[in-house]
Amino acid sequence: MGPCPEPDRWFDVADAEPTLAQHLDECVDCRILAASIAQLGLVGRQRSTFASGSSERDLVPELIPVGTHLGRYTVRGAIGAGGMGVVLEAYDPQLDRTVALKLVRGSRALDGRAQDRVIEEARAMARLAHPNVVAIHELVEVGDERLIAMEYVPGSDLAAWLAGARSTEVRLRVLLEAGRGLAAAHDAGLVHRDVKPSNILVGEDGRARMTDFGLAAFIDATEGPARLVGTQGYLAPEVAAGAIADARSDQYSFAVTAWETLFATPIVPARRRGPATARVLHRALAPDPAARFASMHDLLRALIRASRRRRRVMTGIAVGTSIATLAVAAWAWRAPGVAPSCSLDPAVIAMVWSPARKLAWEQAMRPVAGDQVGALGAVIDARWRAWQAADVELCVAERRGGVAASGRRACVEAARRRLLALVQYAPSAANAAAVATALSSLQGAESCATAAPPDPTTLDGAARTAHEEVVAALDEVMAITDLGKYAQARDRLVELAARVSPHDLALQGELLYRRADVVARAGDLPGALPLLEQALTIAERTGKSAGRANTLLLLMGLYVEVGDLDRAAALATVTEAVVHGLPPDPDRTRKLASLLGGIAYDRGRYAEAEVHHREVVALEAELAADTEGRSAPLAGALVNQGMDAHAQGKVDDASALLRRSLAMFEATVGPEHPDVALPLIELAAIAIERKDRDEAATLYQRALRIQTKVLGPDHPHLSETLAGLARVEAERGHAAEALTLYRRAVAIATPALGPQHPIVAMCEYRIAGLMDDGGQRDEALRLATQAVAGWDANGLDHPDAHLSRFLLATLLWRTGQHQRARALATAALGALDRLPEPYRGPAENVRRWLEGHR
Amino acid sequence: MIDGLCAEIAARWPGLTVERASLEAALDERGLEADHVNAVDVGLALALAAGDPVALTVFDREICNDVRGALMRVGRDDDLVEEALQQVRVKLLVGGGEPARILTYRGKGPLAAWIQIIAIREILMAHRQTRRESGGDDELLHLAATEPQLARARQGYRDAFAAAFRRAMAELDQRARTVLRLTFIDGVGTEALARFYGVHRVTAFRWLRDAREALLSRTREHFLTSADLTPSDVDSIMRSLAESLSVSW
Repeated sequence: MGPCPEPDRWFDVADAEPTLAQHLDECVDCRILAASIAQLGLVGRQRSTFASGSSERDLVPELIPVGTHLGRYTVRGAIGAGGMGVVLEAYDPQLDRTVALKLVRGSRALDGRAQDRVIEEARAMARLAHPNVVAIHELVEVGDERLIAMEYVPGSDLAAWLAGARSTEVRLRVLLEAGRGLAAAHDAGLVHRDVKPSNILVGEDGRARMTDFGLAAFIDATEGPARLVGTQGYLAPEVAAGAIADARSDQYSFAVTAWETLFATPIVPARRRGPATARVLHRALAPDPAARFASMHDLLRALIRASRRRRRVMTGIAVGTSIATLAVAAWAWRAPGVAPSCSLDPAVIAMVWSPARKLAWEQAMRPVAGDQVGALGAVIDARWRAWQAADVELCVAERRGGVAASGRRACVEAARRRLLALVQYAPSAANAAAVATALSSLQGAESCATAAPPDPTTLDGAARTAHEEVVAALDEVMAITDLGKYAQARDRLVELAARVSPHDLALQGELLYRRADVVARAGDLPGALPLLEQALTIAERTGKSAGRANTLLLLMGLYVEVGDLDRAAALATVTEAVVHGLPPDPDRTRKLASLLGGIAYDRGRYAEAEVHHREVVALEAELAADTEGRSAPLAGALVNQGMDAHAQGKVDDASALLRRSLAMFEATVGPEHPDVALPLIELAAIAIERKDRDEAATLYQRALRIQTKVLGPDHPHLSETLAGLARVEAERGHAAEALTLYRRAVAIATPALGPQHPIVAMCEYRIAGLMDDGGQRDEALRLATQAVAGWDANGLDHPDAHLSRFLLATLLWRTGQHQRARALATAALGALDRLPEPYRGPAENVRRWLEGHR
Repeated sequence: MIDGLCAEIAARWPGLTVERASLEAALDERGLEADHVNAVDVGLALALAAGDPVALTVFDREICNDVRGALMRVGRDDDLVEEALQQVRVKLLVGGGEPARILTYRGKGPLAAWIQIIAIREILMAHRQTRRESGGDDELLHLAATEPQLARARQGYRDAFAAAFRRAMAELDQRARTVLRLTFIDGVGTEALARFYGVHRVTAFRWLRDAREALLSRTREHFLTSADLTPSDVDSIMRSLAESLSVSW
């Protein structure tokens, strides 16, 4: 056993491996030290937290150590403390779930009446099943202690959640959800008595829930004078003066919370011309309870109406701009030094998307998009409105001061350039679907709220000019890329790279990354790898963490796509570390989760894949909240979740998820978009399992038609569809058609994905089977050998892999190689036996064959 | 940049003196820039080593409080904590001819955390005569072996089970073993584990789950080959082991 580590070594456990790992493994004392360090959180960065730590919360582990058994629950840690007790995270082995356990502080000391109140509360809460109220599981008595077991909500409280940058729409949504929870409690006769941001949880699923009805009791007029409860600052004035809390005092506290959530400022006195939402809240904040809204429902309805009004005003700005600009000019002349208004320059409007320009655009688009022109124009309308809203919001923030806005400004401008480039280049796109794709993946200004400021540049003179020109041109290239014009985008990137100074390494790296992306999207995966590796080297040299993260993510994605899971998994740890070391970025978080899900899926760890894919769905659902809960990325995430469910045998769940995804794709990107193929293919696979071959064939053919049209006949993505269709044809007894389709799939997949890719091995195995049926033994043997070599190389634990080995075994037997044949079949049987139940069927055949071939 | 750092130190602890040249040299020696997040703490460490009265007050009032809190939460009683605190104070601040040990602080983490680590180590070591090695993993085994299923079994089976379990543990990789022990013996939660290793909570959870699955499946394998039990008997024992080593997200 080596010497114990110096105190400094504990600060970078992640980097200090493997020597530290070895020592920790051997030295009990250091492991116990490590446990203390870990539990106290002395080292390392916190990646995700529950509530912001209060000093009281920190004391909880001292009171109730981790591992304590409370009834059937095992304490795992502290969640928080406050209100009437402490809240613990605990594990319920009986139901195999994590719960939050509320210990009513000093409950053994409570008198009978107070205890009754606790029971009443829990019972009332348990009856109140509402998605925006933390669910109560049960009331437990352990000795003299009374515990309330409730739903465990990973996430943060509203106070902590608000510390992150959130769009107004998302803040409003969360607020309304919490309000609905409170309204439901009121309907059930409960008063919360302590509504405030720290009593509203925002789960990782994005859903808000009211919690800690710790002070709530039945509205009971006979209760007599209550002692002062609630939190200063949120407390209604009449309660502070000694009145009994009721639904209207809750309304007051909710309005304080709402004000902080929406405006992030202290409450300002009512004004005639404030925002409409502020006027609504002022009514709920009326000192006289009778002057407030009759109920929470009324308050919520008024808030929704007021926020709609706000959006209409925003979009109205574009129309009235010229007049507004004139007025501002006059004002500026009279009062020099006053900043200009935040309305938009008409010249900008005319350049991007004025009514006249829209008309011209629609004419130019008609030959490409036909009758879909109107729909596309409407999407651009919406995008343009969103951009204007973001621009105005940012401008107002800039003028109010205190916003370190340079990053946001650059981001908003880039979003405008991208939209402009897309409008410009759309008429040269191949078809309407390509334009729809480009529009759906267009990074708009709504993601700018968290944009980092641009790096201070050390370039000067010509190098600096070139830098700025190329950065602006990049937005155009991105639009061209999104339109599917990959060759053109690649050429532009090569040309741009030649203009950038060789000292401008960071930009060179970014250009390489973009080129890799374009090359990969064009289907040339092997061609993209060296570019990415080069980009990664540059990102590491320039210390650009964001560039490094993006490059790593793309590289991981490529490895996943070519089936090199080991490389992908090897990158996963470092990618996670880099991504989580950066400020939170929904796009990267989502990509990472979906890649981790992809790796887990391809490795056959479907439950784990589902965990990741659910995270993606939750993230996407949050982002889609502004578009009626529908978006193309959400539809894509649903496909993955559907595939996870399917792989776990939950066929009905899978079907429902996939149908939902299909409908959402059709509604967002149109029925001809290539992504529509994704749910179609999986639904087809389910149809095959259900022996509904006609349905399967129809679905595959529709998918194939869409993919061919948009991606061309030789794109690697077609191979899976071809293979699926081939299987249907084989099952229908059309061996010749099946062979042709399988061969085409192999021909497309091999150059792009490599000869060991599962899809290639699978097709070769199927071809071998068909050849064998047709009596072409030699050809069958050659292909089966090739397939098995492929499976051996990719190491996948897939039923087809083992069946390939069994097929090869039977073929070898017939050539007299009995020993090898039996060894192969035995290995295949062992592997098949270890598979989950639904895939074990073929094992019986193998067993019987082995019995008959000794 | 060093001026900014000196100003920051002066603003944070008025009256504390630290010599500019020696601060510069100390940072240089540690490979830290003056704007490093822990540069201020390096200044404090220098002042402490020089016996600066303001620094000593900071040590006694602020840092000792943190350390006291940490030691209490590690679960030690008052007397032990004060004793350990005194020892740490002497060890770090009194050189006795040699440079004070506080100078070995390299600024990799906050000074307060660094001192807490030393103090916890001190208190752990003070009550342990010899260093122990983790060989048998009896604590972990004990968790499993007290399960009723196994407790009822014959001694021979219990021995076979223990052997299978130890063998399975030995076959895991080092980190997997440590993660299992930290979790099931020391009760470290996934969140704390993730923070300790500087990885995302999902990663830590995955390590833990993979380690647990490997341990269970290998124990089962070895147990099956070593005891003449039917697979269904083994499985029922394994189920109870699985329950006592359960992980949750």
